[in-house]
Amino acid sequence: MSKSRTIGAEAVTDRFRRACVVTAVIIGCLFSGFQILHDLRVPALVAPGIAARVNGRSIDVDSVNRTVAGMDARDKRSESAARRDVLSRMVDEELLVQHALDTGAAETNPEVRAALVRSAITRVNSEAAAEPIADRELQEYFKTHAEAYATSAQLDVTPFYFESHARAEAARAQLLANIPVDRVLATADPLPFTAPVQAVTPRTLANYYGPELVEQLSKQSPGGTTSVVALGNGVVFLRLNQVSSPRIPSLHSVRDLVVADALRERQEQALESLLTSLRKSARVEFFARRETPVPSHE
Amino acid sequence: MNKKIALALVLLLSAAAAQANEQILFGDLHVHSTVSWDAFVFSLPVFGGTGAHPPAEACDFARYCSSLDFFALTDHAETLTPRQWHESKQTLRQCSAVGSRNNEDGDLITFTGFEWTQAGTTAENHYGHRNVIFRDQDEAHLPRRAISPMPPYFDPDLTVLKTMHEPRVGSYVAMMQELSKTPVCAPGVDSKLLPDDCFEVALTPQDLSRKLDQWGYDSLVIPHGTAWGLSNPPSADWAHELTPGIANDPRQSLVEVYSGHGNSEEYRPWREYLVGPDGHKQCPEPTKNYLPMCWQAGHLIRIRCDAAHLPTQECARREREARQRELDAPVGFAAAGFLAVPGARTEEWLDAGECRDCFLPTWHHNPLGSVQYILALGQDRDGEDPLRFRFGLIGSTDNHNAMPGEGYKEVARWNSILLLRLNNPDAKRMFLPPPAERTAESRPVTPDLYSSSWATWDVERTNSMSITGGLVAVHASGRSRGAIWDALKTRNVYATSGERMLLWMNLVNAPGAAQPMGSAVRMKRNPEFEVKAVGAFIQNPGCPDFQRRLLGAKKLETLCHNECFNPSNRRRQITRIEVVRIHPQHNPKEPVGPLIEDPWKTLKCAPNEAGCSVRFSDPEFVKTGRDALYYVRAIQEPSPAINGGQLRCKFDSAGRCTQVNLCSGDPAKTAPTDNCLEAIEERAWSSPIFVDLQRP
Repeated sequence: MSKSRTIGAEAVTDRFRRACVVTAVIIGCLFSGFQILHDLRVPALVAPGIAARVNGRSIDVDSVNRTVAGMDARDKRSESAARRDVLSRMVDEELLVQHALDTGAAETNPEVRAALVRSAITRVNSEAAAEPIADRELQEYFKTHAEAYATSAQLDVTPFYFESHARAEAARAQLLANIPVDRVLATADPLPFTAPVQAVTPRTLANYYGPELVEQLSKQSPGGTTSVVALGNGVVFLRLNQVSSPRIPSLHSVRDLVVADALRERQEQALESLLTSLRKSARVEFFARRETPVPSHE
Repeated sequence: MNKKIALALVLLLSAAAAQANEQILFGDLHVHSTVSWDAFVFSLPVFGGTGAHPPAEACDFARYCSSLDFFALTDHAETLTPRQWHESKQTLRQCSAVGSRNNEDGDLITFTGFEWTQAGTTAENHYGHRNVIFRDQDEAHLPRRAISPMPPYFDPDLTVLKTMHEPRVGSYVAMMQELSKTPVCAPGVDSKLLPDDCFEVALTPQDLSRKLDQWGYDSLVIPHGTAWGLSNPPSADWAHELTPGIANDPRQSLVEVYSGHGNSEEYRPWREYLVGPDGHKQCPEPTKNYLPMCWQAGHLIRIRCDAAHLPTQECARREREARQRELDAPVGFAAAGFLAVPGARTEEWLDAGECRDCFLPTWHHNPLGSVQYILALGQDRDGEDPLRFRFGLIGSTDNHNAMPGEGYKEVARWNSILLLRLNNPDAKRMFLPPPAERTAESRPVTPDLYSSSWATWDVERTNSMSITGGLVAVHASGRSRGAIWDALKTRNVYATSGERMLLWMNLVNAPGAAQPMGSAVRMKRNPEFEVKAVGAFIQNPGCPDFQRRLLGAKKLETLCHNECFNPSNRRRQITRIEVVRIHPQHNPKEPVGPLIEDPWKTLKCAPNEAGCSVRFSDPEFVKTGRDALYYVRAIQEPSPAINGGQLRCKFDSAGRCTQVNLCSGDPAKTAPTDNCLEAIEERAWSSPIFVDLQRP
């Protein structure tokens, strides 16, 4: 009796269990089917700022909002439908990213690695550029880099070429004694090449006369002369007629250029600091190349 | 005073006065950043490259390292997307804006351009490379897209590259992906009406010209690499470009005679192959100054065959077969005929295919693309001006590391010149053909022999022939965009092999006033010329202090390799002036060889650091009854240069090259620090003065 009752009870229990399993499978299938058909994800938790969590990785509400806001109005059936579509796509994307990471794409696939590096740099650059350059920062930058924005000096010179050093020194002395330039120039020999008579930059002038004379001119005032130096088989000195000094423009006139340069410097510094901090916190091990052991003679 | 003498004096003085109002400025109109696909490949660390060299770096290099007055950025149009083109334009505008009042007169004036890199497979469909450069820089005067000679070029070697452990390959793939997403512009639509973001194509120079007309902006179209064996099919002949629409295109006022690829100047009578009565290629016999590749192919197989003790008749057959197979190789990046001899070492080819008596020739120099040949082409026409190419001459670097004007010092071979570094097995797999067994028989050259398209390039040979680049010098009426442009347009320019030499050439008895280089003059008396040339300043090591101050020590090292343009006060001497006279053809059937006289005259210079001044005339001009053009080469005393010896041949008493000593891109063969310096005679080439005989 008790055995049969026991058997009967076990049979009921088994049937009950089987029924439960089948019911659970059916509910599961229905639910999955519903999900597939309606692409529905059930919110498991309410967490502030988080729209979904996929295998522990969060998709934040802001990202969803930004994407929805960026959608073309024609693509939005309704705000909630659009949000659901976007979130669904982002979940799929996250799943695929996780799958790619699980299969080692980030370690091995050069395209993924390049994209990750680009993305990291873009993020640093964007963050660095997010804050506009403050006026004070811009002025500071311009102050320390002003020379780079300066116009070149322009030098107007008269060359005095002589085949004899003594005649050149005599002519130079005459200039220093305020004898008119034309009169002294008339005593000079023809320069072996055609030199510009217009004002030119120091670099161009150096292409004709060499850097030493141009360097000397930088210390002269108009009316001054350089020393006499060799030029081929003769000698030459230059008289500085006029100089337009390098002009540093106003910050206002080159503002856009300076802003771009300052921003670039800020971005470079941000990337450098990031790398420095990463290097500091990382454990990087270098291994010497294995050398063939040198046989010992001892 | 005799009236004639008085007139000559007046003309001379007026020429001197005009030139005193000029200044000589130096620039580089052919520069690539790593926006160019090939420059990107060279920059990959797996190939020993130093990473990205963007357009902004070209700006910094020109300003702080090479101290140029102007340069143009000319990235390859075949991979240049509208986005990249737009960014390059912005970068160049910013570059010019520094130190400038209005983007027109700064210390560094930049020009925006692109390279239209056309390469045909036959003489008929080949036009070659041209740089397109625009005068103005504001957006309203620049096209919205570059113009390519082909649909977007997708690097066929991407699959090989992807197999390499190279982090930056991903960026290269991304660049190609961006290109693949750029639609080709609809044909037949006015360029101005096309959408901004499509990829514009002009298949021929005439198409290119039409599109530039549609844009309507002032531009120059400058052919280059005309004599290169590289990228030109072996049969390339500029004669087929002597047609209206190309020869008389006013945009084509200049040709690049010299670059880091070598010198394209000199015409020679030999040919790479002959065409038999049956239309097939035939291998010519060697001459004193030229060993044909096909001949050497036969010779190498013959040696192997004889060593294998095969019958003489069979070896003779194999020798003939090898010659033919070398000739019949298909055209890829270059003629890959050297692959016909399996496993042959580069050194075994000696100097086959190269111009033995040219000054720093390009790899497989093609006389039918030489500048002298092009200038000699002509076609007289009834009632119209003859059809001729009237080019001024410029030098450029064609640098692919964003280093405009990089030839100011002969340093850093490993990082400056066009060098395919063979620093690891991946690089060798990319750039060299796969190893092959040294059989006693040649093989047909088929694409399955290539590991990549680069493997057709005879890389070790080209590595040893690459040199530092040249420069263009302009006689400008001022330091401004307009003044530089006017000098370029009027050909009042000269080329140099990289040194900042000063050069003047004037036709002193031209009707009216003396005329400078580049002029075209009609006269009925014998022309008289005056030439002045001054050697370049010898460079000091390192960089000037002010550059260090402006740029900072760290950037000076990475950007300039701590070597800037840094002249001393000592000049090199000009040793001689060589004059070249060319009488252009009356018609295309007239043999060109006798029309080119090089040198027509050689005028020695007395030792003088202040330069050299010479005069000459052509007493035969009127008597010959032909138009003529004259240009000069100012030759500087020897000085060491990277790859100055190129293949570094040892010659026997008959003048044959018996052994080469290549300057390799393989660090195991030539140390990267070895600059392979050999003395050369640096030079400047004036633009020609074109003198037409005034007929009654």
